[in-house]
Amino acid sequence: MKKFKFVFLIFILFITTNVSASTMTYDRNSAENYGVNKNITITNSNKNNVLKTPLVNSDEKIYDFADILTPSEETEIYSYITEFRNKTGFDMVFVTIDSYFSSDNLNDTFASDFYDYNDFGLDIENYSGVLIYRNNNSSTRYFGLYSFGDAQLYYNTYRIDNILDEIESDFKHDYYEDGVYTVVSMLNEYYDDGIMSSYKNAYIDENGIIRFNYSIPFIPCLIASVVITFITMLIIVKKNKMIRKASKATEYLNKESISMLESRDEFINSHTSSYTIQSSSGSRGGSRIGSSGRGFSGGGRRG
Amino acid sequence: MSKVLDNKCPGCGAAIFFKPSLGKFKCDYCDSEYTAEQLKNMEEINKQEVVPESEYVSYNCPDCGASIVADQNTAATFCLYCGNVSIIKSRLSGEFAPSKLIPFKVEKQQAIEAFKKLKKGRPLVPKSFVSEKNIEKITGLYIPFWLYDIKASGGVVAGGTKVKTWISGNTRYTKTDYYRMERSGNMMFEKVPVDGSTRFSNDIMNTIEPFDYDSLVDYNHAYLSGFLAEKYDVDKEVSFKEAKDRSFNSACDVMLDDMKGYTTKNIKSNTLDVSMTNCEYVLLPVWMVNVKFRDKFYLFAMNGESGEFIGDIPLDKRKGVIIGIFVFIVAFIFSVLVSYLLFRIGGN
Repeated sequence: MKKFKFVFLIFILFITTNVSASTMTYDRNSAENYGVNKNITITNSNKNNVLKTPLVNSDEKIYDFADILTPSEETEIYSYITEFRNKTGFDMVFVTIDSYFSSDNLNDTFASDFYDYNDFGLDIENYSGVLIYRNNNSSTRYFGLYSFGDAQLYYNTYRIDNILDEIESDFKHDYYEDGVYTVVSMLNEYYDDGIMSSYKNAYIDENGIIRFNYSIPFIPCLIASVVITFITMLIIVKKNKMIRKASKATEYLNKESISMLESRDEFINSHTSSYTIQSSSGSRGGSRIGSSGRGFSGGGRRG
Repeated sequence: MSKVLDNKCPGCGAAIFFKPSLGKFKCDYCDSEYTAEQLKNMEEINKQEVVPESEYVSYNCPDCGASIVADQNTAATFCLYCGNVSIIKSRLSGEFAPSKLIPFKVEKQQAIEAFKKLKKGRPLVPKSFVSEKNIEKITGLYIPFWLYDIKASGGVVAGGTKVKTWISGNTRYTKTDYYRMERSGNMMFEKVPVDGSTRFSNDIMNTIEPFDYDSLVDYNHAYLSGFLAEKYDVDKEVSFKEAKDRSFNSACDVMLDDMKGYTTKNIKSNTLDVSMTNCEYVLLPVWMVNVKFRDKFYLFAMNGESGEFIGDIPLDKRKGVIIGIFVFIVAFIFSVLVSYLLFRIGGN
């Protein structure tokens, strides 16, 4: 009886710890095409990235390589992921690692490679999905949110930045369940709001990169036409008006008669002002390109 | 000399005569027609009085004997019956004697050609504006001018700034140094012209400047032959104000130009004194035509020495609307093309 209870307990423990999170990886060298979707071309420039990216089972959605999630957190997070997938039709992945990267860009590279080289969004048009990323390395803690495929039209860098602002405190204090809940809530809200107006003419090409269709900007063209017409007509009308009042007698000045008797310049005071140059970050932007050649949006920050 | 009614044309101010064939008064300058009743009503409105010692002259043409009437300022005119030039010498002697004049260098035919050219490069000139009917009215006229020699002396006090900007990192800095500048000195202006006739707008006379004063010659009645002439009716003290203002403004410019290296400069106060050192009364050549178009009069003048017609030409509104619509359509197409080009260059 005791033996049976012990085995039963181990069995329950196994199931609850493995309901969502997984750190199981597979060997890419023994996988067909290194475990990479045939739509992605492996070249000398990205082969290293492919081999460095863990090969996982894409059905599991939560990959806690840093081992920072409790079982109950994993369960809750999995339910949030399922809710998001059901609502939007986009895939969702949560990955944690504990690796030292010398620059923040390498975190972004890892995140985009993890999504691209593990067939997430495989059965979804344009491999659409979202990836939540956490690097728990004590030297360079980093968290990020990335969108892929059609999800970029709903979740561009501007919206993702807003989400990162909201979850910064949760992630810094390791409240991952609350953080992911906030992420999913805001992603769902943005999905309900629809594609951003600046992306109304955008589409995702075969490489998952945001492209824009040309549409005539009526208002700017109208304004420009009115201004051009006004200036042109002003020039034409002015040609008919030749009479001008003389207010000076410069042409009658005898330049040799000019005699300056006194000349004095006195410094009074000085004033210096300054302002910070804001870099323009418009809400319309394009995709970033991963090592796979596919586009993605978003980014991360330290914390 | 008989008294003559002070009939000035209400439209342009020239002498107006009764035309028997029309039964009305008609102005030979601008072709306006009025009945006696209309003229009388206009006189009452203007409250004109017959000047007992009227300046109007009635005299006989030496060629055909016809009676000619000239207004108070006309110094040379034509006999309207035989075309003979008549110079009223009393109007050009004594205090009214010009010291010099610039003879006409531009012939009437050249003036006509210059008037016809007004249409070139001006798409809004009405079609009938440059017509033979208007062209034949072109008249050569000697206009009375006062030429002033002016001395400007004194000083100005000005405020100025020197502005420097630079970028360091992501910050733009702007440093503004404030200065107080003083300048004083003298300068001379020579032969600043002001027309001495109320009949002609100062603005038009300003626009046909400058005249080449190297062409000035001593006055001789003979030069007036074939042209009309006017004597002054604005004396030199009154006319001096305009020359004084122009010289003052130019003197301020000279002082400001001497203040070098400033981003902005403006005069706070001045002690400039502008005074007349000499004044000459001269006659300068001008070709003129007064065009009536849609019940309005448009005066055109041409420097009879340099040869360019100036004046305000009326606008053909219908043409203006058509051109405006055309320009708008072209501008819109151009804007769309530019936006597409930028879209392609931006790499989508």
